[in-house]
Amino acid sequence: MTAQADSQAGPARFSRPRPKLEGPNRGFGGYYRSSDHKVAGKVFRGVPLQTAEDTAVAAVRMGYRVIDAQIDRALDMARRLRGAATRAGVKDSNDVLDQAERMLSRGGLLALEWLETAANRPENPLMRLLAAEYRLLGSVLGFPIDSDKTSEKETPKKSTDTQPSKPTSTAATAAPSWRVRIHHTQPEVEKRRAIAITKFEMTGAAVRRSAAYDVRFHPTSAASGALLKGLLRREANAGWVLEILTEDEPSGRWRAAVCTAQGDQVGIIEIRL
Amino acid sequence: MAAAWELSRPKEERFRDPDYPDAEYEITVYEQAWRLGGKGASGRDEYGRIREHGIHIWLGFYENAFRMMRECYAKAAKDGMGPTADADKVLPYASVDQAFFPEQHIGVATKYPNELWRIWSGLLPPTEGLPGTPLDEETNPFTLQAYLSRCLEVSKALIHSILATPAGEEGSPGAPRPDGRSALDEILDLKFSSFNPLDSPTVLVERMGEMLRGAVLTTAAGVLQGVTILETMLRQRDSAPPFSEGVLKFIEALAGEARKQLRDFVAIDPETRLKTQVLDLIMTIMIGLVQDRVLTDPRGLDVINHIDCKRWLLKHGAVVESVESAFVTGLYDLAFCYHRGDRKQPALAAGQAIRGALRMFFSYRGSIFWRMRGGMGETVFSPLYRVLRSRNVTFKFLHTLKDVTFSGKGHDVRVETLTFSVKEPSPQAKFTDDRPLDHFGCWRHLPPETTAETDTVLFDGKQFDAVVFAMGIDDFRRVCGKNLEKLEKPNTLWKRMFETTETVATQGAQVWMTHDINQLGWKRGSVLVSALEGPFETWADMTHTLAAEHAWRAHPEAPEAAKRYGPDVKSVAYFCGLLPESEITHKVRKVDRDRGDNRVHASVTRNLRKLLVERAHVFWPAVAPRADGRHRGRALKLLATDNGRKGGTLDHQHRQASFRGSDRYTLAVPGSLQYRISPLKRLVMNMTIAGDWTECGFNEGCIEAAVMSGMLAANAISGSPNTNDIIGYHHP
Repeated sequence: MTAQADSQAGPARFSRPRPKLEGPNRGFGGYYRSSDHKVAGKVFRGVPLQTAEDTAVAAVRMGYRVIDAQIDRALDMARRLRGAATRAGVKDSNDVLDQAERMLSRGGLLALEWLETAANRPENPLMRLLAAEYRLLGSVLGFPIDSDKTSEKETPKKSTDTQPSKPTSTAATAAPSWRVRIHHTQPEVEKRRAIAITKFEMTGAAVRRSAAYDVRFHPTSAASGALLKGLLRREANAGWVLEILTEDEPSGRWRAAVCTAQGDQVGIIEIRL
Repeated sequence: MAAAWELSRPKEERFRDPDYPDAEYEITVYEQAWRLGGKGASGRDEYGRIREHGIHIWLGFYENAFRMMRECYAKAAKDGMGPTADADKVLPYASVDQAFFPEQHIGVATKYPNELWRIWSGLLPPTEGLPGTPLDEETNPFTLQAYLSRCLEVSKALIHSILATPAGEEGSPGAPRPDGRSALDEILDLKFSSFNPLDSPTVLVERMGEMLRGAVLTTAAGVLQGVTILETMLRQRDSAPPFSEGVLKFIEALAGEARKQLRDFVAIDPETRLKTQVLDLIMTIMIGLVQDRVLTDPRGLDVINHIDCKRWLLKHGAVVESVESAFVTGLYDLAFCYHRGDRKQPALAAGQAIRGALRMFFSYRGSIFWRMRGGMGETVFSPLYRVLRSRNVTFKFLHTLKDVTFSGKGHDVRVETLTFSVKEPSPQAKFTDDRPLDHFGCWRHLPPETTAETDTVLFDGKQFDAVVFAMGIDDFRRVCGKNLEKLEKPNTLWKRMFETTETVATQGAQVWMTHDINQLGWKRGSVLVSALEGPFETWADMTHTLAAEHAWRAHPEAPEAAKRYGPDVKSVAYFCGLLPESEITHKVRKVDRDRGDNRVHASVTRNLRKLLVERAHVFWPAVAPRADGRHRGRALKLLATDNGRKGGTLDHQHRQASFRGSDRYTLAVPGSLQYRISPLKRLVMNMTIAGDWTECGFNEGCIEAAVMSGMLAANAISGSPNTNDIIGYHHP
């Protein structure tokens, strides 16, 4: 083979570039791979989920699909049962099975909704149970869930997740997501801007406190001096409220540190305007 | 070929690492034969019959290989290549979907005392998607949901196929199923969506009986599995809090009782023994994975590659009967995993075996197997040849690499010269590097006549800048071994790989029969059956290839002799198996190459005779000899001649001995895989390697491994494709 020379050793001699890796990464995440996507005609290929955290997120999402599939399967079974009853000559079974099907469907959806709502509340016993189970499973499978791994998690890394990241402390590891309500304090309706929370990380210390935090958002991209003022406080139902005042600030990502009165940082919030 | 494919990929189609230069490459492929493909090469003889190296079946998890072929066929179609194109662009198939078709039927043979054989065969369930297409959310097999559902589906299919084995088949393997029904019919029956219990009360009762038998056993196995895993975890986890002796004793008692129940149940119901073997193997693998902490080890399944798979299963509690069952034997036979081709010395690294099984059963798309409609040469390498040429890749056939010299030392070793021995085709042969294919786009079975042989030397920086050695490890060792081992720094790496990597000789045969498979007594449809013992451990009915052979002969430009081909061929069977070193060594010692080849080929012919006389009745019951010995060797009388008529002999059939150089098959021997060198490793500045014998992420001899290795070699040169784009490369 002849190649255009990209020489490192001499002007006319080709040398192989230094390899970034010399063998496969056989970590647990390699069992999984995200799907390929096509955007504007260009294919973006999936990647192996290299970290246990990426894998756990993907597994939770897949779990929802499994539940969906189970509901579909149950409905399909009900339909087939109805067909069998009709073939057997049972006249009024349709109504009975319709009711059963509806009940099954509603019951399943209600149960899911209850589970999701309940699991989202940090003080709920169900969440503590799920947290305990997650820790047990995590310890068996080798997921990095101990508090001494916190520093690793804070290092930037590639992730396929677009949900707000989860808290990094041991106490809060199990929370599937934080419920954050946004309250606009701008009295002029036309000046209220659409806000999406892209990152919400709080330490265990912050979770246990009930204090309110003054927060100041800085834009992440431009070197502008604009600031967004807000207040973060706990709600009675253990969720959070972000009170914020918007004017005509530039669109984009804004980030704020959540600090105690003594200046200790207890969290990070990132929003998109 | 995969390396050439990736390096010649147009810039806009590359998935490269942005840190690497985005260069264009001028590529020349030097091939020692007159055709491409190495172990996968095949050609057509003067009657259009396909002549293969062995049995080639693609597996449904060959994502990288299928992706390459899909891209290749798409480009070929775009450039006007295909069955109706003119001579320079003609190809036998227009698309991948024309060239490949799904196969779900697989079987293994079991030998019982008194030479009694029985063949289990089953259909593994089809799945969504097609291999090589984008891994969209609906068909991505690398998700938790897919793993779970595949696990259930495959287990169910295995269990159903065993339960569905009809009574009365004992002692007459391959005999007609009740009512002439196939395994497919029975599997369909077992899908309850298509089964109306009100239509057939008798079938309902039968099904209930089968389900009850299955349910009792499955429940017992499930209990045992759960308890045993729990027991193992509690005993093995260092960080687990100390459990009271009482709890452990209770669990042990529970496991013991479950095992006893299972054993008792099997003892009174021998029909379920095969099923218990499947369950025992699944259970043992799960226990072993937990016990050896394979799932969480950063080395993945490689952590148990030092031990043979059978020994590993025994170590984790599998019973000897399961370990020696047809399922495990079939796994070994399909990958020729025996030291020196000796069936008494099985050798398959446990980690790679389980990785192979996981990929094979849980990550296939569409179908577990894919067959080619014709020979591998014309289905795979003809379109690759044509499309690569359209990308300005140059091919030079009949170039045998004779010598390689290196310069420098330490981290600055370079390939200095490449010396080729070049054979010149005679003008009568009508063979050129630009036109190696025949009128149908197929390769030729026999090499062209050559006149002279000369040496050509290529120099680094003049005729080449970088080189990919993509031959088999035996040829690579022959040409480069000594010079590489002399180098100072990487000395031990090359030496260790050469010393520990083993290859094995194989033999293949194809027989054209004057009876179809139903007349030969096999009623379950086309199938691939392994574990037949030697000689030739695997049999595949390949009758579908007769259509491709016929199409070749029907072409207006086909030779006259081919047009007079007779009408008597009704089926064709391919056989493949080990060729023990004991049958080769003394035959090639102290004789010239041609004479040695003839002797080994004569040995293969004798083996084929032995198979047809002594073993063919296992899969073709109609040729079984009578009790008084009459009709012995009846299969020999049903052979067709090479021109398609009755009265053929063994000499009219195709026999292949693959025992030299790159024709040999690379084994995944325990304790050797960690010494394989990755194409990514930069031991020589302007060189890399490619082939299924390299560390390529899937270290077992197969098409997918060869393609993955080629992709890595391309990455080593150019940074493209990114390793994340090589599907399954990072699989634990």
